[in-house]
Amino acid sequence: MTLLRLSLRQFRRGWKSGDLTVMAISLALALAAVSAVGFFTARVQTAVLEQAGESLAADLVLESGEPIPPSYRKAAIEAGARVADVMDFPTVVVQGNNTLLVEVHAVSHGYPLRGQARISRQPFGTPHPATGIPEPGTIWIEPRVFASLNIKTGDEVQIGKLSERVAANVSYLPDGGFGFSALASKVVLNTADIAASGLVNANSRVNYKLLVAGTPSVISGLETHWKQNLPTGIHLRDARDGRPEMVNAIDRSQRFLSLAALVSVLISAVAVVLSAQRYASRYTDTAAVLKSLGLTRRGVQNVLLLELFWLGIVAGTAGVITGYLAQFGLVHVLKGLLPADLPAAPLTPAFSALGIGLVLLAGFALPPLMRLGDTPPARVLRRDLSPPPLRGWIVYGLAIVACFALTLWQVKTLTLSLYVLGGLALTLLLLAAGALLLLFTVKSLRHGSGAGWRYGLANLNRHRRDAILQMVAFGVGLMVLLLLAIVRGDLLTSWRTTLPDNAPNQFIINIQPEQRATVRQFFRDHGLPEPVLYPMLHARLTAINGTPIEAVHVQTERARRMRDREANLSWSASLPAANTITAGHWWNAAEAKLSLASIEDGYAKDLGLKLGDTLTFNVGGAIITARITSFRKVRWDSFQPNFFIELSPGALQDYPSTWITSTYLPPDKANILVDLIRELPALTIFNVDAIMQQVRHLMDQASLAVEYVFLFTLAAGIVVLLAAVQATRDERRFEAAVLRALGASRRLLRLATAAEYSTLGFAAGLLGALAASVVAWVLAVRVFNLPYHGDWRIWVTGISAGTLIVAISGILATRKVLTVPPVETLRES
Amino acid sequence: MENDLSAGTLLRADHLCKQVNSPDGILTILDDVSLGIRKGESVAIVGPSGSGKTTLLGLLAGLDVPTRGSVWLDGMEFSALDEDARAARRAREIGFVFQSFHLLPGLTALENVMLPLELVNHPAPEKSAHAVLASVGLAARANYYPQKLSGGEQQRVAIARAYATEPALLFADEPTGNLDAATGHLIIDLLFDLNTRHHATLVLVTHDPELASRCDRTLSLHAGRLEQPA
Repeated sequence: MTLLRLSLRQFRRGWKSGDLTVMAISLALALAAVSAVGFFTARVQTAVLEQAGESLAADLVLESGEPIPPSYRKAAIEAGARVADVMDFPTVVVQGNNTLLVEVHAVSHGYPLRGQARISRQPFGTPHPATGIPEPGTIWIEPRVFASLNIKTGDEVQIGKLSERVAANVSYLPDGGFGFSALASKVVLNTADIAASGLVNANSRVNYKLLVAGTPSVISGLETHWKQNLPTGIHLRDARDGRPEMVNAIDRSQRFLSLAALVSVLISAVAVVLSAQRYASRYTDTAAVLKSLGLTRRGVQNVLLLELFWLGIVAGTAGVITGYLAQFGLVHVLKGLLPADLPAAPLTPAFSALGIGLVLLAGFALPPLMRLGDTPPARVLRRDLSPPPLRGWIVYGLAIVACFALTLWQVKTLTLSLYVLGGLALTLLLLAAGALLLLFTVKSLRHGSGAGWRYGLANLNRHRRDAILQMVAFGVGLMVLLLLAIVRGDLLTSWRTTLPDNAPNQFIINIQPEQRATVRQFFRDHGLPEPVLYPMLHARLTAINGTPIEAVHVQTERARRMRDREANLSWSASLPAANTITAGHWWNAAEAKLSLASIEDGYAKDLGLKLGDTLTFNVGGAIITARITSFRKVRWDSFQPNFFIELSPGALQDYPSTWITSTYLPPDKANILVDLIRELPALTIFNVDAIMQQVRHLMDQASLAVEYVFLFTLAAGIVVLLAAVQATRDERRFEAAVLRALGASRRLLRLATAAEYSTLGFAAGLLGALAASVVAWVLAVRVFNLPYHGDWRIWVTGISAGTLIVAISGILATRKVLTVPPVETLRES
Repeated sequence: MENDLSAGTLLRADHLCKQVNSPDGILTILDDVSLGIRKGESVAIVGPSGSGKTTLLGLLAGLDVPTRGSVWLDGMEFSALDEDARAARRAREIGFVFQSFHLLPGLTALENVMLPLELVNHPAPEKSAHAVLASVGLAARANYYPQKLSGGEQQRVAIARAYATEPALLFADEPTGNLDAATGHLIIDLLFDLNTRHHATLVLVTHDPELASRCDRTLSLHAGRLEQPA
């Protein structure tokens, strides 16, 4: 009880005197970063979990690239289940001279069988549950469609041959995803409109779904029966399957944001160590007095432990509240990618963050403070007696364990934790080495400068450890922000410039055989070169060398996806442009009549294919077998239609196919395709520039969210600076007093401070910019094979931001040193 | 570890020796010091700077342990106890007054005086602390923090803290060393007054001949050796 009271009194005093402030701020900041990410992801996860039960909009879904045979619908209805139809496919919406690629979600009456769609009158308006589905002739669209086509509710748009009126904004569909996975916006349409729209024909790429819902016994009966007799090409999904792609997307974003928060936590840890050391040194006398009065070693340690606990509670709560408020910012930044009405955040992230706070204190503040238990009580008589220094292995051991625990806590997996810590340690070491080098350079510069500069620069070298810590802390923060803000854009631009100016920028798919002549004529009429059309057939790989595909063992997740998905086949007599043979040979005129296959390198590797292997495909019910005679390397960024699997004409040309082409349209002619769509409404056009822009927009939003979290890192850098200033404050006050007693003006001292901190900031900015440039170079040249042309903005932004932030923070933090009358300081000392 | 001390001896040192390592090798600070102090006696330890006075005080008070020899407190070998056991005895039986007061800056005057009472689980620490503070004339300053008090006031709080648990033995290290002459006199008066009232044994280290002269006995240290063995 005594110790409890004593700890509370000491804590209160430490708080008032400011001795605990920096430690509290650094802890609060770390927890704010962690809990902002925690609250944010918990809200998204809760939304996903709440909707998991309804994520199919049904209890069972039969899914296929072909229309679901009517016998299934009949069986379901006879068993007493309710059914609804869904068709998903991409198409183009036209409004005036604007076109937009969208994903049509055509639904029949009764949809959704589970859950409720939510709509609003205006984009981002307050959503309310929908009472039915869009009436024929009307559509619901997502907010992005409103923005891209610049339309409002009540306007008409063209979809296929139909003119549809926009009836509502759709903010939530049970089976709609959150936009994480869907690049194209959704348009909800009544299936009754499909026939008249001309959008769907035999070879269209449509995902057909039969939704089924009923009592558990009916569903389980149907499921058991269907599972036993399911033909290839039809997939059965039940609610237990949930939405793995959503869970994965959220998991990935959580890890990424958590990593960003982790950097803030680790930098804050530096501030915690510095301020704990300072607190310990100021507390040594108190510990000695307490021991002389009869408090045991354990008693002193318990008092300090309790003090840390109070600090953890107070600063932790402040941090968690800040984090809670900050997560609204994250939600705002990612608006449009998230459900419009996220549920409230649960409390779990708060406890998790407080736990991280305790680990932070235990790993970084505890060692210097616990050492005070060994303060010799005789220090009350002789001030030169100090507690024995801590053993290095205790300090570093605890810090490493704490770092590891924090990383594991944040990123969840052991391997990733090791990679992250290893990478971070290497980066920090390199930055520290750079910082040391800069300090030596600064040292040699100081001789030619005036007294203020000389004194300021000397200060930097005298507190070398602190200077390095501050440079590294700021350098890391600046490096990451520069990478996110500048380098990311540079890489995308650099990639764009590697493409030829006339690289195709429009893909036209779904061209029916009889429409080929119209398409060619259309281009001729507009004075454009006639495009090359490629045939395309949907097929399923069913066997390799006679072994059923299900029995073919593959190593990776990617390979499994390649194996199981529907493949697009093409056939060609000659080797397509942008393709080169890497093994075997392309078929000659005689061989072209046989049934042969040429496979893309990566695909072949994934499935472990060899030359001479035979592949069996199901093409619309027909079985085709082809022998592999070559492997190809494909330049995907040629923007030509390219295929993993090319067959010889002899194998495929007699089967019905649609045709695909890509072409370059100069910007002034981009709108002509609106006329082509009007003429042939079932065509789907992908505008590469628009998709690029969409990708860029998604990346912008995602990286803005990460940048947002990294702002905490920059703030943590400032707290490290505050901690370093605080650690040397007594010394600075004494020196300033001596200098002023010797006649130095305040102006000179201010100049010295400005010199010290602006040099520190300049160096931190230089390090940050250098590190960002090196990482950018590695990414460009080594990872993406792009030419790298440096960017002056990295240097200008990094150095000016570093200098300004550090100089201002440093000058503000030390201003009190100069305002205390020197006589007071000298008397105290 | 009972010792057959003569009746009435509260504190006894036998052949105390304290050596420390220094850059020039082993440095002997105290060399074979033996002494005995009776209950209720007041003893001044005097000597020039560096003679080992403060070191001797630290050993007698159990703040430090001797290199050789032993310290006996009330018939028990004090110096053989471990640090925590010595701390427990200090809490119950020993009070301190230091040259630089050593009040805890985080606590008010009242809380500083309450502290030793709380450490021995006194049933009414606040009431007792108030009473002791009043006895040193600082009732009105009870809720002041040390830095708001003058040097004399701080030392009076320190004296109140030292006497709060009514210790059998009180050690004072240059109690007037940081005070002006007039305040020093007042503090000395207060110290002896309380000592008489509480029947405590007082051991103090001082440079001040006047202060030493008010003690029952003076022990003189020179270069680590006692010039007038007790």
